[in-house]
Amino acid sequence: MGVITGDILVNGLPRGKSFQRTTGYVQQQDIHLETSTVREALRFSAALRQQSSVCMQDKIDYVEEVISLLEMGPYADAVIGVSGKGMSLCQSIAVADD
Amino acid sequence: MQTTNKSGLNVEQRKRLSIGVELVAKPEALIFLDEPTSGLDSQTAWAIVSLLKKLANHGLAILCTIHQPSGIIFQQFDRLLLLAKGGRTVYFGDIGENATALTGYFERHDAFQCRPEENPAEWMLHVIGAAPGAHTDRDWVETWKASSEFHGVQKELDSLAQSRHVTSEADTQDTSYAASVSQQFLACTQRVAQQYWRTPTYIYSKLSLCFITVRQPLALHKHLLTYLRVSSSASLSKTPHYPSRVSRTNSSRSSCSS
Repeated sequence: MGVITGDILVNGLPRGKSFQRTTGYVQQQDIHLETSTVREALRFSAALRQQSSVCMQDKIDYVEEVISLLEMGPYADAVIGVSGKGMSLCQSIAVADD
Repeated sequence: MQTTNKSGLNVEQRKRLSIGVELVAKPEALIFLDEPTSGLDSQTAWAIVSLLKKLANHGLAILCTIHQPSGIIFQQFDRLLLLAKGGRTVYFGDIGENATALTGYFERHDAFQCRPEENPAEWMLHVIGAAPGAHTDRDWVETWKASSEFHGVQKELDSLAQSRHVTSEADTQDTSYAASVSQQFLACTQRVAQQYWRTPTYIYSKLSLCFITVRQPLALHKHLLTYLRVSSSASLSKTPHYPSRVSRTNSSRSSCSS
């Protein structure tokens, strides 16, 4: 493995403590609370991660905006559920091999 | 495609939700995605990448790692940072219309030509010798460092560092979390309570566990009583015994010295 050295700057300034708040990180594994619905998951994230100066109604409105932007309207109230109930990718590859 | 089955959201819907969860946090700087297309079929991968393109057109900065993209997906990206083993830069710049900016760079440095029907993403891995069975005599990392494109990037970085436009640093507090501890506590407690309410089987199993083990506390009670009795008698007997024990050791020592 290589080692890369250098400065990490954001807009020409060293990143501060709030750096992680100004970025979004979509992980490879889609980990969600299986019992909550899509809308609840989004509201939870908005409530805790948007500036606390923003009022709750604005956050809720923004969640609706994101739902329509991502075209998640048809399943916004669906429960997230457990992933991997169906055939996993590895399993389907194994079947294809046979 | 958009229907939900009983087992919950499908892979595409889950991926969309993952992106949504980050979007509602209103990230000012950028959104980073770790291989958003891995584990998805080509149709779903295309849907997700088109979504990312749509978000980018909305003015959001998107940084995304990707493995083995198909030609059509690769076209959706604006710029490419190609890294060789060890994280060393091989190319950083525009992909261009039909990947011409990218292929142009490599072809100018004596790479074999990228045929129009070829996938430029696969072709470039072949060129730098990263594809299985591929081999290259050229050190592409050094080639990059000597290229005019590299100097262009350096120049842009320097000008960015000089501009140092101070963002609204004053009104955004420099803390790790946006919400206060009490807000976090409230939101999490609410969510956990809701989770328990929706999984009654968990509560039932906990309750039945209580009933099954109801005799256990009785047995424990008995144990505790015996323990207390023993320890209290020991502590009672300790006090009167203590001086006598000390005197005994003294006497034994004196007998040794004599």
